[in-house]
Amino acid sequence: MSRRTRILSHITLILVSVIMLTPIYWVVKTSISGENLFTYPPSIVPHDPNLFYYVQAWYTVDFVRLFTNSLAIAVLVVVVNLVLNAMAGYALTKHFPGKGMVLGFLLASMMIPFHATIIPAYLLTAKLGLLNSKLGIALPFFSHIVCIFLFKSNFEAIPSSLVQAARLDGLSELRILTRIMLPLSRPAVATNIILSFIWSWNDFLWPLIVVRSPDQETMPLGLVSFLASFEDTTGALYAFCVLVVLPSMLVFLLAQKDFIRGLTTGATKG
Amino acid sequence: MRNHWVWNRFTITFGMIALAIVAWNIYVSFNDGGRIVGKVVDAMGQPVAGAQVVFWRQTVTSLEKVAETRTDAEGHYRFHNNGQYALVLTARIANAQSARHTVPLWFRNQNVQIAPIVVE
Repeated sequence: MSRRTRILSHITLILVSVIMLTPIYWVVKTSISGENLFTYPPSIVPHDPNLFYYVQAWYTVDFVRLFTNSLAIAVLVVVVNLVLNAMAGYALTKHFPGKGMVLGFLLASMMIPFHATIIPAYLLTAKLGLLNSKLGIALPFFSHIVCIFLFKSNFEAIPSSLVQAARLDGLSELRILTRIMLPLSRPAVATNIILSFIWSWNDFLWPLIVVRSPDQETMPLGLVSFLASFEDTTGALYAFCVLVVLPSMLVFLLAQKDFIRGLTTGATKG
Repeated sequence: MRNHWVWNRFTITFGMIALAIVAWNIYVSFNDGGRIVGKVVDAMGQPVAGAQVVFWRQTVTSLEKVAETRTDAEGHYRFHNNGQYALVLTARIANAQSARHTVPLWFRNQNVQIAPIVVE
């Protein structure tokens, strides 16, 4: 790549980054200045910035309860996802009769949107007696097919001689998975953690349907309650939005290096 | 190997967050008496004795009176257990009164020293 092309591509990437980051900047700016969204002309730099809107958002809703509910559900989802997806991904690296059908079934399932299965999911959750509970909120997120395929491609990238050597040493399949496959698939584990955490943390529709009482509400539901009750408190509303997205941004930033590697591992195999 | 598990970006980040939360809570526990202290002065900056100071609570739609007191000979006033995270104070005496004085706080029931309220 010539120097001129490199500079051009960098300029393009910087411009695209600015466009992508502008809404985030605007939310943060409004959360510390409380400026009306429709102020004309809009100011790029916040006037009289302060953090008191965060204090207002913290006390206006029961923030600790919303946060702990979301966190408990997200942790549950992440742990169960890791266990189930890793086991499923490992099983799919094996050869067994009907493997093609299982793969086809999983791929076909990905094409059905969650909204189309929401009524059966609700009825099933109700039959299990899990409505209005954290387990009921977490249940549909216990496994993601994308993550199963991610583990599968990562496991397939590990040399089979390693697995055979472990088998000769007498390790069971479960121990091969936990002692060899998972430690060598750190990017896949990081990707799984990020994706399942963010999907669980940000989900709005399913908790809205399952949750009946305020003590089980998650952060996105709290945000809607906040919006419904206090529509004119712009600064506090945006501060609450920042507090809602902050944990998922933190998890992503901490694991982004492994996340990018996790998405590309296996893609270059062979 | 052990160091790698202890000193990585996850443990450091979450450790720092936990440390900040603990430090903040210690600070709050030492400063949450809800004490409001301030002074009422006139346009010349002289203390105003016997001024009526009212402490209001901001609700979604209006102001609700929480407490009221009078300034001493040196223009000082004091409230206890404010129980709020944002204060609104007004002062008046005879024909003079102050503008509405809004003071946001960092946490509920914070001890706070208010800048002089001017009545004119």
